[in-house]
Amino acid sequence: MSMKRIVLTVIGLVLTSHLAFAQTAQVQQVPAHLDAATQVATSATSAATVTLTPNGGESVVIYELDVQNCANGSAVAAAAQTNITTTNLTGSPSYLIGSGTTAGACAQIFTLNWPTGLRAQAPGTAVTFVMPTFATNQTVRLNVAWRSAPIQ
Amino acid sequence: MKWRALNGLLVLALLGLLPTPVAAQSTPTPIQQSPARLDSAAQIATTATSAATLTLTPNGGESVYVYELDVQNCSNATGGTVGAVLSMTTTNISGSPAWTLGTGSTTAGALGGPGLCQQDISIKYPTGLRAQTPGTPVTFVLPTFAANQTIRVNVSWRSAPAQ
Repeated sequence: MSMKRIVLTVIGLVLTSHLAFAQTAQVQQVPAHLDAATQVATSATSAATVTLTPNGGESVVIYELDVQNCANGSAVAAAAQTNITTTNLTGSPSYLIGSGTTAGACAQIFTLNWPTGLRAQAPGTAVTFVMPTFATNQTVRLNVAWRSAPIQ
Repeated sequence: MKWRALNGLLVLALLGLLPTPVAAQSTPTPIQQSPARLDSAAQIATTATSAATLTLTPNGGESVYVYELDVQNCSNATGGTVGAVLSMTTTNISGSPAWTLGTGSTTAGALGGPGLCQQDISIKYPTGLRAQTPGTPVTFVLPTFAANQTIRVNVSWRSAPAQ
C-alpha cells in the first residue's frame, strides 16, 4: 500500500468519525411549539412602565403574568392598596397590590396563565403594564411572558 | 506538492477543522410566524367596586367562554373590619359557582391585616368554561366589601359560537 493511499484512508476514517459523532448527536428533536412564549418583560422598579412592543402589524399575545410583592430588610408601613394598570388590553384590567408590612417577607405572590393566549386589543400597538409607586421598603416584581404574532 | 496538500488535509482532519455536515443539520429558525390562536382570550372584564356586577355580554347568538379568573383581596392601611365571610356569585354558568372571600383584619401582621392581601386567587380554564345559555350574558357579582377592604376581580373571556 502506497503512503498516499494510507494518508487518504486516515483522512477518510477521521471524516467518517466526524459524521458518526454528528449523527449520534442528532437524536430526533421535538420542535418547540410555534405559539410558545418567546420573551419575558420584567421590572421591579417603582412607577416603571413595562412595554411589550409587537412586530409591525402584529399583536401582543400574553401567556403568563407573575407578581412578587415583598418587603426588604425594614418593615413597610401599612398603606393603601395600589394597582398595576394596563393599556391596550380590552377591559383595561388592573391588579391590586397590598403595601405589605413584615420585613423580609413577601406578602403577595400570584401567577396568572392564559394557555391559549390573551390577545391585545389593537394590533400593531404596544401593551403596557404600569407599576405602582412602591411604599418605602417595598419591592414589587412583575414578569410578563408574551410573544408577537399575526392575527388571523 | 500533492503530497504536502494531502498532509495538510490530514492535519486539518485530525484537528477537526474540516467542514462537516453538522452545521447543516442544526435546526433552522422558523421564519413563518405562528398566528395567534383563534381561541385566545380577547378581553378582560374588571372591577374593584363594592357590590358591583361584572357583565360579560356575548355577540348575538354566541356564548361567553371564560378562560381565566383572578382575585386580589386586600386591606388598606387600617385593615378590613372583621366580619362574616363574603361571596362572589355568578349567573349563567352551570352550577352557579361562587367564591368565598374573607373580610380582612385590623390586627397588624395578621392575615389580611393592615396593608396585606389575604387572598390572591388565580383560576384558569385551559380549554375555556362555556356559559350555560348561548346569547345570554354571564355575570360575576361582587360582595359588599368590609370597611377598609378592596377586592379586585379580573375575568378573561371571549365570545364564540357554541358548537
